[in-house]
Amino acid sequence: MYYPEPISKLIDSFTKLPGIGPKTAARLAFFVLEMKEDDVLDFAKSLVNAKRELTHCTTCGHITDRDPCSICSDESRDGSLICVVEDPKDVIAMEKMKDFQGKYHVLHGTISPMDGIGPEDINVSSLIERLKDEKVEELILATNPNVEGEATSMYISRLVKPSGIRITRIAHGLPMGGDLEYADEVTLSKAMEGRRDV
Amino acid sequence: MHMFEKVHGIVLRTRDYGETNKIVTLYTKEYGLMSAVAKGAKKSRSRMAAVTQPFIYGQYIMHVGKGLGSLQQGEPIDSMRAIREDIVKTAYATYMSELLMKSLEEKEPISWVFEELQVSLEKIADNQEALAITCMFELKMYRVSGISPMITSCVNGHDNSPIVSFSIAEGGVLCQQCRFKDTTAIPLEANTYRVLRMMHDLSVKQIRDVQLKQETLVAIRNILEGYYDWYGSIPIKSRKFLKQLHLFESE
Repeated sequence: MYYPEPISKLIDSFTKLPGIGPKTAARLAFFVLEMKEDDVLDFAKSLVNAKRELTHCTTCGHITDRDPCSICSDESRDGSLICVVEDPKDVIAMEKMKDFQGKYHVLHGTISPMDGIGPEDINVSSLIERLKDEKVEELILATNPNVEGEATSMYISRLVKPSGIRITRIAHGLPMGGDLEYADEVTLSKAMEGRRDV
Repeated sequence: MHMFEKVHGIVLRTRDYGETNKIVTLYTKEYGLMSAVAKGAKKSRSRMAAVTQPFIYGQYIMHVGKGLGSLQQGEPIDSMRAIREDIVKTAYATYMSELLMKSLEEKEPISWVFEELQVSLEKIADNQEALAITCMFELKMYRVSGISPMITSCVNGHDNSPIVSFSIAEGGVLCQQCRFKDTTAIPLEANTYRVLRMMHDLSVKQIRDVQLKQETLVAIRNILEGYYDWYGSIPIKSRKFLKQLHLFESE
C-alpha cells in the first residue's frame, strides 16, 4: 500500500521466511535495492537452483544435487555402519565432526504421538528395505534426546532387533566444557548411567 | 497481576518457539492448565532443556500473567524417566496428556485432577497396567468435561435389575429390563461391568497392582472409544499412535 508494487511483493516474499517479520522484510528488501544487479541476479539464481536442482537421495534421504548422494556413492565409506538422523541438518552436523566414516539415513521427522505423526509419516520403511538389501552390521540411532527422538529410536530398535543387526544409541550426558555443579539431575543421571571404563 | 510464582507442575507438551525457545504446557497444582515460554530451552547447555521434557513433575519458578507465562527455573521432583524410555508408556502418557489438555480450560485448577494425573503417571512409570490406568483417567476426564457416562445404575434409574449392556446413544449402562431400548448397545459381562464401575468410582491412588484380563480391558477400551467419538467434540491425535503401536506389537 505504501510501497511500489515490486518492493511490496519483495517484502511479502521475505516475510515468508522463518523469523522474518514485516520490518525486517522491509529492511532486507531495501537492502536488495541497493545491491549490484549482478549480485541480485546471482542471489535469485541461487534460490531457484537450490529449489530446482536439489532432491532427496533415494538411498538415504539426504538432500543432494545428484542421486545417489556423494556420501552414499563414496566407496571409501563403511557401508556396514548406518547412522539414523532426524533431518539433513543433522547429517551436516555429523559431517563437521569428521570422525564418522559410515553412511546415513535421514528420517525427515520423528514420531510425535501428540501431533499424530506416526511411523508411516517418516522415512522408516525405506530404512527397513535398505537393511534387507545392504550388508549392515550396526545401526546408530542419532535422534535428538527428547521424547519424540526417544520414541522414534525405540520404535526403530524394536522393528530392527529381530534381524540381529547391532543397534546402538548415541550417548547422552554432559556437554564438553560443561560444569557438573550446573548440570540438571536428569542429564546427570543419564551421564552416570552411560559411564565407561577409562 | 502476579510476579514470580513457585508452582508444582507436570509438563504435558512442549513446542518449539523460535530458534532456541520452547512453549511448555503444564498442568499445575496452583493454576491448573497453563502455557509458558522457556527461553533458551532448546540449547543443549540450558538447564531448562531437561526440566521441560514431557511428563516431568517438578517445581517451577515462573512469571504468571494474563497471557503466556514465562518459565524461569525448574527442579524435577519426579523425572518420570521410565515413561520417556518406553514407547508404550510414552504413548499412553501422551494420550492422557492430550485428553487433559482438550478437557480443561486454562487456569482453572482442580486439585484432584492434578493428583490423579501425577499418580497415574507414577503408576505407568512403575510398570503398572497402563491401559487400565489410562481408562480410569479417561473416565475422570469425562467427568470434568461434563460428558461422564451413567455407570453407577441403569440410565433409566432401575436399581433392582442386573446391568447387561452399555448404550453409547443412551449415555450409559442398561439393565435387563431396558436392554431393548437400544439394539446397538454393547453387551456387558458381569465382570466387565464390575471393572468399569471400579474404574469409574475409584481414584487411581486407591488401586494397587492392577491385574485384569486383557479381554476385559479391551472391551472397556472399545466402549470408551465409541463413547468419546459420540460425545467428545475434539479428536485425540495420539489415539492414532496408540493404535499403530498395538498393530506393531501384534506383528
